Amino acid sequence: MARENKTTRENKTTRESKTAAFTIFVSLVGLQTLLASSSCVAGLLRMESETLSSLREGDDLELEFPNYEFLGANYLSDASELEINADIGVFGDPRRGRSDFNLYLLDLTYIAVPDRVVISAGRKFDVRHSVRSTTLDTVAADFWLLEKQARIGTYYGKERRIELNRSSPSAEIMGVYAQYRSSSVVPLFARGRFQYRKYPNTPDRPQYVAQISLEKTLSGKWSPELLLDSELNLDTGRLNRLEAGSDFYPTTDTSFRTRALTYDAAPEDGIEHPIFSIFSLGRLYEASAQIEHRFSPRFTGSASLGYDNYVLQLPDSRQDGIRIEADLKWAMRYWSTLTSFYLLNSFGGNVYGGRLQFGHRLNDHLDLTSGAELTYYEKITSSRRSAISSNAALNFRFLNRFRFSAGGEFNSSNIVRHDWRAVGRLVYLLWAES
Amino acid sequence: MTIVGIGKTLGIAFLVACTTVGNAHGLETGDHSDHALFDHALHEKFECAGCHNFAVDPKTRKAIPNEKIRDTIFRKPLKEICHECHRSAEVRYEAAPKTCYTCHRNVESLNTIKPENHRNIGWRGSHSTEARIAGDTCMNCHMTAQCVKCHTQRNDISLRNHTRNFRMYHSVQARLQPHRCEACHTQSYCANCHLGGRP
Repeated sequence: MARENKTTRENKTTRESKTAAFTIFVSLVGLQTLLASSSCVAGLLRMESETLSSLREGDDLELEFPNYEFLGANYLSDASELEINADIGVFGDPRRGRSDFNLYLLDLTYIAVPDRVVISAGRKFDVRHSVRSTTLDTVAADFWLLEKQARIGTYYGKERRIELNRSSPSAEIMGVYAQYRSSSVVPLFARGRFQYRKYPNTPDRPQYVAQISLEKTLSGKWSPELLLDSELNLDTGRLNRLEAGSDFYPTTDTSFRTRALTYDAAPEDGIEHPIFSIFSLGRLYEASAQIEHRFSPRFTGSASLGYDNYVLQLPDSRQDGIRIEADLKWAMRYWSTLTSFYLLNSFGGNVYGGRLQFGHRLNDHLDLTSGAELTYYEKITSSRRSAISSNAALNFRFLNRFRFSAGGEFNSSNIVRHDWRAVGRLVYLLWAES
Repeated sequence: MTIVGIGKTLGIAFLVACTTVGNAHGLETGDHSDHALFDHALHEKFECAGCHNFAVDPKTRKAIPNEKIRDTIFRKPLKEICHECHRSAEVRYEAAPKTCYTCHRNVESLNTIKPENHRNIGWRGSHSTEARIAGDTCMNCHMTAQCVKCHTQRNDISLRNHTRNFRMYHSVQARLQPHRCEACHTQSYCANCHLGGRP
């Protein structure tokens, strides 16, 4: 009886969610259509719709037919006084009777006082206010200072972690930030953030985090760009993150990038326990470098090397690992290829693999893409296997805004020996202005 | 399936309606050149000499030699004449819109002004540092829906972030760089598979 009541409640919740989803979907598209077509709110509307469908066998060898619809849009008025962002995702599998809806973005930004005050509200993927980019349901206010070279702001809201098939958990979050960019051909960019966060399962232990970041481009030989980012947990005194790096450009055809990082996270950090805390019980150190050279306008090569070291078990058992990757990219007028090789070594095992992607433009409206990957892995569980994946698709461009892909995949692994899939993709891209 | 079917049908219909309705109200959706969009009427309130090598006689409205001519105009590439106002931090230019897509109003035009570091093969996997430090600079060209596409959206059809084989060896990768998964995932995502759910 209790189980039936729970099922009934879940069905009712699902129906209500679908109704809300449908209403929001129609409303936001209609609103943006009206805004874009109104002569009194001239601006730029950018909209992308992506529809994905696949017919395949699942891991249980039963047929499944997942369908996804992602719709993202941005409207910006000509004077930039009004900006609206929206993004939703809808999923349905009629074979399995599954469906889902997610509202990723729905936010509005308005310049209340020209060149001085900006207010914003809604659900946003925040890259400006919060210490780490995350989804927030928030209200915020920002202020320009010093001839718009400086900006300060404050915000309050709920941090969301949107995941599969679950109601979005949240944490109360608020903070302030300040940033400054010098007016120079080689500017200095500095930013500081302070954030307060309270989790529902630990209301008596709020988290206080501060972040300081710097970026400076230097003129002269090699045109170096220097970066520094730090994040400190003020209530525990733990240095969450410290990253330093530099990008060099010895010639116009060569770039060289280096990064050094230390990272630590405790199980109580975040709305959910961080994935990091599953594998590491202490501080991680990482060093990486990448070099890329354009041998000719059509041929580019890249190589990268990374080393990581972290605490596997307390008190002082550490593990390390390396990552090596190499890429070769060749692009002609009608043909293109990207070849990649990778090697991973860690406490979990070794991986050796290669990947080839191929593109051929048949005419202005039709092109062919294909790819294949072969991976051999040796896991700590003594499993030694290989996996193959391959795909091919025909891509049609029509009516100036649509792109349709029809193709298939063949994959083989120890999970499914013969995995055949049919895949369809329809993209509509609109850039419209009034 | 019903919600997806209705949603797709109405969505495409509305999107096509954007084009149709917008055209009826002056919304341009036709081909653009690779150059930036420029509205001369909007700029007529400024001195002609700011961009041109002549002045305008206020009585006859004819072009005349400009005594204040700045020979720097001759040496500047076209884009620097635009950028003098639209990429300047000086207070006299603060009203000029600074976002790139103010003028670069189509994907082709925006691609021509892509920063050098975006052309790196490895940029997609290494943009996090710059985004964390100066993420709002990205918004000069990008919209946040593009961040959401990789970081938040979930689908097991497109191979946007991981290849199909990654499922087989992700345990090795996770034990190599355990901090990197958190850019997009939470423990719930792991539990969804490892506790009997679907990926």
